[in-house]
Amino acid sequence: MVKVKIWDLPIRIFHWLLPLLLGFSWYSAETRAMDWHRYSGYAVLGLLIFRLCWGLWGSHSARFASFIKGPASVLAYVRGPKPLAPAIVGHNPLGGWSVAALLLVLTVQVGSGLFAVDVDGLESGPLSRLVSFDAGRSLADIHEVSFNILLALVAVHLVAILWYEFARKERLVMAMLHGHKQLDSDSHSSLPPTPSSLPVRLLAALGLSAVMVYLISSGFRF
Amino acid sequence: MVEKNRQVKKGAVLLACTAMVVAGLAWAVDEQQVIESRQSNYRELGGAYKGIRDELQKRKPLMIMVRQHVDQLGMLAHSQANADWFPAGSGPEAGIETEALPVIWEQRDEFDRLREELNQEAIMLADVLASGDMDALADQHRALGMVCKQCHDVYRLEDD
Repeated sequence: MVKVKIWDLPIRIFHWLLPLLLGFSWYSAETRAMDWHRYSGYAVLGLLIFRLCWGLWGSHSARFASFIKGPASVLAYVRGPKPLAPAIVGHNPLGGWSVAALLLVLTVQVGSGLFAVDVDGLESGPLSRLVSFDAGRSLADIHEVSFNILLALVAVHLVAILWYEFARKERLVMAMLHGHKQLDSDSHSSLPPTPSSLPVRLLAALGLSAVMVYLISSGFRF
Repeated sequence: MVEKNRQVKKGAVLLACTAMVVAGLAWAVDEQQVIESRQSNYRELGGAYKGIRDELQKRKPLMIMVRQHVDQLGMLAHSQANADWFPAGSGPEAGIETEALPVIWEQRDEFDRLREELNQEAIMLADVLASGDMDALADQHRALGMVCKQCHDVYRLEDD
């Protein structure tokens, strides 16, 4: 058995902050603490931008190119593993699409919130001045619908994790906590070595996220 | 003679029925018009409110835009307080999509008081604008929004 690192620290922090912030966003909206809802939304926006950057130039398992596979791969995965096939490190072909779906709906969720207007006109997203009252109201409706879609995707995600945990004995939750996976020494596909430029890439992703959140939350007013 | 009487009776019944159907249709069309124009007017009012807010958030608000929105808001606030945008029968019972709750007609005095309060807040908004004090304008703008919310909280179906 060999211990392989599959999730880097930024991905794990991103992963666990997301449900905390989504829960808090929901709670602050329900209790009409709209200032907190906005701050929470900006934090989710930052996470989302970071994840998109990390999907482009982050570590191997975080990159979209490593886990967004074509339909043939997805079908082959669903039909079951071939004998002697190397174990998958990172998202499997089906899980990869679930990540893509979650990120897409999350983008709609955050994006609609930025422009949403409440019925009293008292509360609104930081970019709402760019749209009409009616458009802002429609986006508020979309914000609500997309949250329900997000909840459905989260439910699918949780059921899938439970299935892997109990039916396939794959400890996905623990792997997302400590970042490692136990594999038979020769059965996994070889991972590309971690590039030495990773800290610089991390700084670039964090910097870009921070700048974007600053600009968007201030409504592009300078 | 009897036959003729019967025919006249038949004609009268038919006429009465037609009249009822026409009246019913006219009533339904009327309700639809009342509800739809009410909704469109309130949307416009919300748009004017948002327009003021959008200007106030700028470093240098365009006063001509502020004035235009304050005027429009004042006109609509006056109209909703003085014209009856909520005649009896224009609630959910009309069968047309509306977020107006039946409690409007159950607590009509309080509802009417809030309508007038909105009008007064809009008049004050125009006065504050004339004074030129932009901070006071922002405060008054918010105070007016609180009246919108006060009314929506009780009399409007919550859509979230």
